[in-house]
Amino acid sequence: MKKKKFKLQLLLGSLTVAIALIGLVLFGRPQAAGDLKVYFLDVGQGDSTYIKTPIGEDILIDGGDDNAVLNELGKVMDFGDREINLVVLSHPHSDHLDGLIEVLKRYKVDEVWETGVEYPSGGYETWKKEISDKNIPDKFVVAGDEKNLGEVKITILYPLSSIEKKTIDNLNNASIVNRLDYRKFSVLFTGDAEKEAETQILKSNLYATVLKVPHHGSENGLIEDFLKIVRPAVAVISVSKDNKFGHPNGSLIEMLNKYAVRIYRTDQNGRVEIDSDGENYWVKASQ
Amino acid sequence: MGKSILRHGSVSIGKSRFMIAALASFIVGIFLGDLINLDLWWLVGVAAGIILALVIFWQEIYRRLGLFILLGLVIGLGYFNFFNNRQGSIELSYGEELAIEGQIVGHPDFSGSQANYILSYEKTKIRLTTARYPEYHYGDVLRFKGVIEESYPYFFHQGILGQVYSEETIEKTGHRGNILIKYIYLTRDKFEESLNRSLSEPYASFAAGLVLGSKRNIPDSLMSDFNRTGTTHIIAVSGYNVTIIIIWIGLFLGIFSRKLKFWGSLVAILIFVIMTGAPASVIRAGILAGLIALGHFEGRRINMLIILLLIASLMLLASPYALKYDLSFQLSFLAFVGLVYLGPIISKLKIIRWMPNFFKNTFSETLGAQIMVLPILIYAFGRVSLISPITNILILWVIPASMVLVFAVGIASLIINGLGQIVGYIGWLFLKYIIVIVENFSKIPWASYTIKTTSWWWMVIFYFLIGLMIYYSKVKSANEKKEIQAPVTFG
Repeated sequence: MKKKKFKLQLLLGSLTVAIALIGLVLFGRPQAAGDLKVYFLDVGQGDSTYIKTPIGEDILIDGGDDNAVLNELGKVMDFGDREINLVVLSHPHSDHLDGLIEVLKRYKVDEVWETGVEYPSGGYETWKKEISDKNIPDKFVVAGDEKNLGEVKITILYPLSSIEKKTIDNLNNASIVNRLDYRKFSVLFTGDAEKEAETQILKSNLYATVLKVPHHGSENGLIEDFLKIVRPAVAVISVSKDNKFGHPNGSLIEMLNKYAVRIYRTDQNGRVEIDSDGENYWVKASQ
Repeated sequence: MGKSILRHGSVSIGKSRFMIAALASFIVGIFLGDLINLDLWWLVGVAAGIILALVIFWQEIYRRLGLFILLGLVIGLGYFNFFNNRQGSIELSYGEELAIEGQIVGHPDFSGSQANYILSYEKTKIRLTTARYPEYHYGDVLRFKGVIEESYPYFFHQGILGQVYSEETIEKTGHRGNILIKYIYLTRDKFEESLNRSLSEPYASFAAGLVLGSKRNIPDSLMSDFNRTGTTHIIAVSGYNVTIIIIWIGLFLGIFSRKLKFWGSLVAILIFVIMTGAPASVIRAGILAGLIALGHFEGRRINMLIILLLIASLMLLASPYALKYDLSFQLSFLAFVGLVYLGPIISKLKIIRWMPNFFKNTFSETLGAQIMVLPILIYAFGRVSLISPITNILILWVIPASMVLVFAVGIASLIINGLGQIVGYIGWLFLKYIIVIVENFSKIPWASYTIKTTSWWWMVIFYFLIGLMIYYSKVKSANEKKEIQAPVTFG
């Protein structure tokens, strides 16, 4: 008799807990806050930026060179959000690409933007295979392509013409350069673009609040003419501590200081979060 | 509280005593094997002498017992030396650039931006470290150029005699391999993938650490938090966890019926083994857990100690190095011993006596296992965590439930993707709880101290004292005349 009662209690108890939890999960999910959030993720030596639009859509630009991006996404994405609306691969170097492969495997990715440039590497082959296996819409973008996610607009500035299936001597100059606008606030993403690419787009709409410094702050990355036109208030350098390339370059830091740009570095500041309501913006560093 | 499994070993003395003596001394012989280096033929001679003496002194019971012990010891010593010499006699041409071709034999290990493959090569195995992509799989035959270096002791003791780093292009020249293994690995991969789809990081890696014992993808900062709080064992070694979880499932099913408990446990073990890709650690844990289930089911009719020693001996025949160098081997056996022999002693302590049976048994068996593995953990991880008692008490009770949930997540997501996510939310709560505790307690400045100890005499004293305690408690309970019908550990 007593045992039967215990069984019943146990069953009812676990059922109640389960229902409560499912209810919590289904109805208690945090609603998307009204700000645009841009996170420059701390992925070591590599680039990765996660963007959450005010209506809760997700964009990921590049993925670093390993699984570090997954841990960062775990921290910045909403609990239970397993979908990314747009993934942008600036160029297929492993420090931008490799982390994205695992992202494709684990998240439901709605669309991929890339250049389609020719580049022989195991990672790039795996990436292409994953995209075709999963039937993910894959767009080879050129300057002028754009997409609206609510009030947020993403616009491609470079490459100027299609480089699909083309071999580029310096793959860095095959990087996608794109901007992100939300009312008066804007961010310019530059991949690993170097002088050659930058000089080609000096006449484009470059002016931006935040600049992701090209090529991890390398000395052959950002040129002064480019910086003069972008005129950012904030520059973010995605770089790892004690990297073997000596990034970021000292004279580059001097140049940014000369133009009174506030510098944030993922090696010193950890993950850099910039929130904006379209008028004002706030920078938060995790370290 | 009279009868429990621990008594069956000692009560049924008779013939089993000789068996126990021989098996135990065989294991001691293997343990001493690398200290005492004796010529194989010399040992064969000694063994023959002992057998002859056995025939002569068969009627004298104490001499016979002594001879059994001696025989076990000599065979253990001999077997270790035989195995060690055979492994040592394989010579690879180290340090030369070679064209190497080999088949992937183990489950590939992807960590960070690297991939590690174990290849069969010239009657032995080598480990290849190369680029993360493209991925190769079990059974693939790879050809590449590289320089074989001597492997680290850790790999050497697993029979892997060489290490190659290759950044050159690798050519896949074919595909072989055992179909059964292929499918088991495939199941494991699917399981891991579905965990990864349902949980974000670091929860997915942590979940994989809990059930598969793979801590590769757990971020370094979290790993050091586990170290500082003395909780690394929950992710580092799967075997021990699997034993605990299966006991838990058994205890839970035991609420309903004895038969369900036994058969349910066996099914759970089988599912565990297949889903995890059947690594040695989980197979071992599965066998031990099956043994516990059998012990609970059959009660006094089986001699636990003999079966335990027999299984250990068989496993050591396959790899005698495991005894000293395989942490997972040590932990799963010690945890088992602690659970079966210390558990009942702890459950009789005044401070826990009052608990309801279900909680009391779970708590005391877990604690028993913990006590047994503690010295090995200190020795292996080189660190004493002062707050580990607190963190472990806060964490351990949710481990079994978390593991069950992790499995539920993986399986649910295999069936319907969305279902895995819903179960994942519940699992996430548990995983989050553990991680929050570990992260916050590791911030306490005095949380842990590093002890790099290479001496092991204190462990001998520790285990000797535990052994004495078990022995005296057995003697005591044997002297207690009144016997209570239902054995306490049988739930």
